[in-house]
Amino acid sequence: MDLEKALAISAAGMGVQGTRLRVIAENLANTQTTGSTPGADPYRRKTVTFANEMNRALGTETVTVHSIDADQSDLPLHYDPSHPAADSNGYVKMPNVNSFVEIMDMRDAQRSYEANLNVMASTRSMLSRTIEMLK
Amino acid sequence: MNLFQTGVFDLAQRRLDWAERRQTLLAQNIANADTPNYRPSDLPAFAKTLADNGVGTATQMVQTQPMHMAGTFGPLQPDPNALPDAREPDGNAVSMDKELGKVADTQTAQTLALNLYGKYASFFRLALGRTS
Repeated sequence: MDLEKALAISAAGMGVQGTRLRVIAENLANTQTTGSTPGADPYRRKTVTFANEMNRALGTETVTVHSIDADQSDLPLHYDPSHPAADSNGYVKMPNVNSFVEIMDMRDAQRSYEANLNVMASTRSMLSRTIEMLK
Repeated sequence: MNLFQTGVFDLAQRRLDWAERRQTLLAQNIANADTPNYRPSDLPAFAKTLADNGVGTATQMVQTQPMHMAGTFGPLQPDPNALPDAREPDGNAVSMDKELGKVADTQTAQTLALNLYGKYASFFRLALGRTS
C-alpha cells in the first residue's frame, strides 16, 4: 500500500537527518581537538552527503547516507609555542570546524527532520481516516 | 448492478489512489530535501489523470510476450514535464514549503474523497432500510 511506503520513506528521511545531527555533534565536540605530537594533524571536520536510492524490498526510492567525508579545507594555525602539538615555529594546527557553520547546519537538519515528521503525521492521519471507513 | 462501477464510487476510488501515490512522492521529495542534484517529482493534476486514462480504464504496460516481465509501476506515473523553479547551489531543487503545502492539499483531497465515499455508501444503506 502506498501510504505505508510513504511512512517508510519519511522514516528513512528522519534517519538520515539523525545521522547528520550526530556528525554535527561530533564536529562541535571536537572544535578544540588538536594533535599531541609536534606538527601533528588535528581533528578534521566531517561532512555528510545523502543519496536517493532504490529500496528493492520497499519497491520505491528512499534516501540514504551516501558518505561521511573529511572536510579538506585549510587548517587554521594558532600561535602557542608551549602547546605539545606546536611545530618548530610555535604554530599549532587547529581543527577546521567553524561553530557558526555547524549551528546553522544543525538548524537546517532540525528543520528537515520536522518536515519529515509532519509528512509522517499527515500520512498517519490519512491512514487512520481510511481505517475509520470500516466503522 | 455492480455497486463499484457506479460513478461516485469509481471516482472516489481513483481519487484515493491518486492521493496515496502523491503522498508517497511528496514523502520522497521531503526525505530528499538535502540530497545533492535531487529533483522533486509530482503527479499530474487529478483531472488530467482522469482525462488521460478515460473513466473505467487505466493505462498499464502491456505484456506482448509471455516471457517478458510485468510492469511494476501502476498507471500513476510522475509528471515528467514538471520543472522545478529554483535550485540550491548543490543542485537540489526541493522547495520545502511548497512540498508541505502539497502534503496538506493531498490530505484535504483524500478526506473529501473518503467523506463522499462514506456519504454515498450511507445512501445505499438508507435505501436498504437500515438507519445509521
